Amino acid sequence: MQVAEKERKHLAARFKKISGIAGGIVGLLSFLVVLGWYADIEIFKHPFGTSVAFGVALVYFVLGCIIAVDAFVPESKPLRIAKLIVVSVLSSMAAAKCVEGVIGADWEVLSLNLSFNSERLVPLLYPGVMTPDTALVQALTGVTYLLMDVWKKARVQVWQWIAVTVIALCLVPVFGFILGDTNLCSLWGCVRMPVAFAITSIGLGFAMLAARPERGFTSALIEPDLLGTAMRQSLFSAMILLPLFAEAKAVFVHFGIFDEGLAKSGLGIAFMFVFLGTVMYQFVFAYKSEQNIRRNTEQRLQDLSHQFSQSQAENTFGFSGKAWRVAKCSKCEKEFDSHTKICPYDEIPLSIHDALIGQMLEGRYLVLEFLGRGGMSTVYKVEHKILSKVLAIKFLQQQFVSKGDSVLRFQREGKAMARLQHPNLCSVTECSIIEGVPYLVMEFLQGMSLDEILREEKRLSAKRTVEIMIQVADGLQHAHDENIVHRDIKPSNIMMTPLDDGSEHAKVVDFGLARILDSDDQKLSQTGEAFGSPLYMSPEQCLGSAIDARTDIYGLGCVIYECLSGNVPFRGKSFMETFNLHISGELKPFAKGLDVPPALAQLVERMLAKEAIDRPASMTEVKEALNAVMQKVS
Amino acid sequence: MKLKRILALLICCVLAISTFLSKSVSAQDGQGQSAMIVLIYDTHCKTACELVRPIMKEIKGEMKDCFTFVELDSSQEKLVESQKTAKELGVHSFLADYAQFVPIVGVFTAKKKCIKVIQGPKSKDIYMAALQKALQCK
Repeated sequence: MQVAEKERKHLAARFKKISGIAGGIVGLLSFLVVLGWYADIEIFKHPFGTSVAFGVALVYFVLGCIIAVDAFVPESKPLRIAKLIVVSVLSSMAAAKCVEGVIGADWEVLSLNLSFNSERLVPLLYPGVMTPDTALVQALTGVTYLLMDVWKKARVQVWQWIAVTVIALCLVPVFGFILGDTNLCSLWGCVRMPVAFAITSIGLGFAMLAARPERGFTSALIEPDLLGTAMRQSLFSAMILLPLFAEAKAVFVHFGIFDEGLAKSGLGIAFMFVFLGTVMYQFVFAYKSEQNIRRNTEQRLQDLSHQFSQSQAENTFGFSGKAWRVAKCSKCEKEFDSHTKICPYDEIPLSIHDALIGQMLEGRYLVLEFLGRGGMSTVYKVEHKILSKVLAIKFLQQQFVSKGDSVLRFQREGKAMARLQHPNLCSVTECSIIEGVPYLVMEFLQGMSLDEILREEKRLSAKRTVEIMIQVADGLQHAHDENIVHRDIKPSNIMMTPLDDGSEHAKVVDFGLARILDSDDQKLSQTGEAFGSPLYMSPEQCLGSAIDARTDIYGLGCVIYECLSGNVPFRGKSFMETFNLHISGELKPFAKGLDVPPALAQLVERMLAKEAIDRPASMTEVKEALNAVMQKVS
Repeated sequence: MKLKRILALLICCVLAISTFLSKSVSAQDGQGQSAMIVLIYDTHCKTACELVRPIMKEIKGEMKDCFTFVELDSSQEKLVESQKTAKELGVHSFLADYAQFVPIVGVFTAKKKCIKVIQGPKSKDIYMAALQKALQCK
């Protein structure tokens, strides 16, 4: 995770530099055109064999310089204000010029004479000769810059869409030029494909998009994954190939290597194929590489778990091949499963022998004691010897180590938990593999689980229940905001830590069944599978249909019901019967003697609705309702 | 400070080079006796150019002897011929610079000084106003 973040930051910094370089190139090219107009140098005035109007070049010179300054000069308030004023003036002039062209007016104010030489045949005017199309592109480019700089906190990066629209518009003349259609006509006039203008506009648009790579959809470009790489390479291919093709075509036609007709039918189409082929190749290559990496990772994980065979186990801590925790008979010295209490041969109580206790793992984790065992994992208390900190370490149980899916599911739990940093969620500090056994290092939680408390106290008061559940809802809301659904909310997954002031701090643990909604990990959490603890499973989980955050709302509803009444809302004689009760059973109202506030009873009833749509829409809504109840009960 | 110096240097370069080179691009033509309107169009440009040409002809009809009206076709097939005409009239740089923004009208005084460049189709009044201005210029 950290490596990816570092890589992302590195790429963002590089993009910002590229933005400055692109802005500088546009500024330099535009400067040459301006120079061409002043000094009447033909080759500068007509790059790529097409004209760039004086006013257009002047504006792009200024904009290019501003973007370059943005990238390389430290930001200061006066500089920023100056830039914004200049860009506002330029884009207003361009917008006015566009309107002037569209309505067929002639506004003298839009003809600022910038000729230094009064003897010129035609004076150099700003904005001067500018078709409405080019004026519109200029105005939009200016607006893009202003929005980018001013509207920083916008959720939707409107400026990026404008920049992309401008780039898309400007690709038309570039492709047209390459394909040999030399005229671009509109209602307000015809221009010989303004290819030089279009290329500089594309360059400027790209420079602006690259200037803020971490925002909006351009953030996809700085992803260090293969798709991000493919997008980057395609973009750079396009940025290099398009002007290259345009210039090549201009040169070929100019020197008579191809005539205009052949350039149109043959060369242009060949260029298009090369371009599309290059872009497609990047994506196909990325897809293939992604597939290979995924296949290799799965294979590697499976190989690792098989690698440590019985014979190798002698030289290891004994993670694989033989049981770490066994029950041993002091008389016959036979070893049994740790759940076995009495020796079947000698009929005497067995003592527990744990090979991991006292071991130093990875040179830093000293195993202190066994904490517990879940469906797939075993948890130990460890001490980080370097940091002198007590932590919990969770190993995937040996019988699951050889199963690729279990290993990947365990890894997914680590991924899910690493994404979550919240006081009411248990945090993970490390996820790795030791001698073929995957493990997670997480914070050590002192206290009891809600399940243990309920076993001791039978049921909790409404006030205490609400206090705990507000914290749980807060933690789960954070997980849902990160697109993670826990899928296994139950009292044993809620840890209660006593605080110094006598209050309790709740933390949600065990994201072993969590589903990352935006991941494509279909194989591990596909619809059709039923996961969870039957007593707390939502109807959609029981049916194996699609789930979302409202599944956790149902699970939490079951937990609140249990805390208040001392019983789970639905309990059948078998799994199937419990499933059926969740799907279609009627919820028993709270007994009158329980003294459950009506608002709380109503909330629990909504949370336990059979249809997800009838439940509160989010944990935020649940939390708000609980807060309202809290105010009443206290 | 560095940036300011670079910008100042660039501006000085532009001024120096333009002053130096523009001496060679002085108005070498001046043979014409009356004001002149030069319309650059393209035979392939149908909509916009076809809007301007009739207006120009109408103005020419109304103010027959006051000015010279020249049409220059910038299409590939006619460009060489147009360049030749433009050179004879002393407006070849106007054609070279603006041939790609058709339809475009240049309004010149009797001294062959361009006082107005009008790009795209406009109303007759705008062309007339520019012409009146050109006619008033001595």
